[in-house]
Amino acid sequence: MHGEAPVPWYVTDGQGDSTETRGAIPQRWPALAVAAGVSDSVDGYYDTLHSHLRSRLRTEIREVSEAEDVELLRTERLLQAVEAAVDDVSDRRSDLAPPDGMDAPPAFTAGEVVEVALRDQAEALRELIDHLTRRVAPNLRAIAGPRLSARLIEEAGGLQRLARKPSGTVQVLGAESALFAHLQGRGTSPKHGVIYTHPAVRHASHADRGAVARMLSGKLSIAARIDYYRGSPDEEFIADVGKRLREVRT
Amino acid sequence: MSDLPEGVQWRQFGGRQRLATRGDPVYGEPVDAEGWRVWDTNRSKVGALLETHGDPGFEPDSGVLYLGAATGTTVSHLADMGLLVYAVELSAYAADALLEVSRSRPRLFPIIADARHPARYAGTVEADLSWLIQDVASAEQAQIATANRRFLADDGMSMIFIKARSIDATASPSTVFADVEAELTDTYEITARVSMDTTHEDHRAIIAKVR
Repeated sequence: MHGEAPVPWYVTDGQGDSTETRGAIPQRWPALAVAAGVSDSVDGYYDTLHSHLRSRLRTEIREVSEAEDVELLRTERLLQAVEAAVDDVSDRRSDLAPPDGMDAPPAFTAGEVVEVALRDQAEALRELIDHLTRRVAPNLRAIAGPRLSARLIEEAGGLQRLARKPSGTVQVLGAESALFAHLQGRGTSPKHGVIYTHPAVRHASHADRGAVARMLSGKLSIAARIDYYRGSPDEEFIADVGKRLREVRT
Repeated sequence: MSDLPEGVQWRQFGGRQRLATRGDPVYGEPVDAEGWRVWDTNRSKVGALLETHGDPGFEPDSGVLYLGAATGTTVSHLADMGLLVYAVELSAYAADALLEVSRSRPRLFPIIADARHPARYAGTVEADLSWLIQDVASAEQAQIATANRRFLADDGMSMIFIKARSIDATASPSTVFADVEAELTDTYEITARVSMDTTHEDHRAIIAKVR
């Protein structure tokens, strides 16, 4: 078969897919590991292999979820573009002539056909966002819902960046133009950015809105940090925040 | 009822006899008072095969290379039976589930790798294994089985689940099965063919020994 010397995992330190091992023929690794003094016994070898492979799996999970937050960010941007296109077509659909050589029922104009297709696209993207936020940011999703979670991650440029932002920045994400205008001495400081879409903020009285936005952005920051650094839902934290938000509303 | 391998039993669940192994539950399956958990044969082709045809010749402590482990349902039951299982799965999205099922199973070895490139895990998976079990959704199912022959002992066996639709969704399943078998015959001698249609449509199991 192959002439190259095989390299076991315990020599390559888990880099089993490195070019060194290409063409390798499997060997009786447990016996070889014992003979070479790498393991005391065959059972000991298997125990080491088991824990080694499981820790490699953890690394792979981490890499996948890092890739998923980028996918989420791109999906959110694409959805925003599709939504803008839906609005655009919807405003002008009566202007568009019936499709040329297309078998649409006479009642449908080209604009309507395009609009339906775009709405389907938007719906598919929303479903993808729903799925991705469940995996990437379960805590954020529990507090902000899938769409706002995606908006926040998109505005921040990824989950890691969101997790590292101070909560005051999270509060005004998406309101950069107002913030910079304020910093240049024009206008008041913005109370909220994209978190305005959260019902707790939107339904708060005008006087309370800033305080609610400040509280909410604090919780969202913590949620993003749990999602980034731990990755699993913290039920206790989610329940606490839910309670705080209900108190605010009454 | 046919013979079962060691570590698998018929147990009573909700008034009916079901296949079960003993170990930590992993996919919400029922568990009885003595710790036996149902092997859901609708979710596991190996389970379905054992249920209908009995023991294919699994010896306790034998080594198995399982290609296409997915979220680990089948490999968890094989590990419960006392088999040593190298579980290879292509999709890193399955890693969460494999991490979970391997936690309480010290002889279940999860590997995220592409079964089309066995050289990449030849430094991890040992030689002279007794079984190759393959359940992959790839158009190259015959080539994969051939390339992974290197892990089997000279008296090793393979159990190959062929998914006709993954190979050619337009050809008739019987043509696809015949083509796959023709490709396998250089490396393996086919000893049994089993239709899986009752639980898995357009699937066939092939049992073969190393040539």
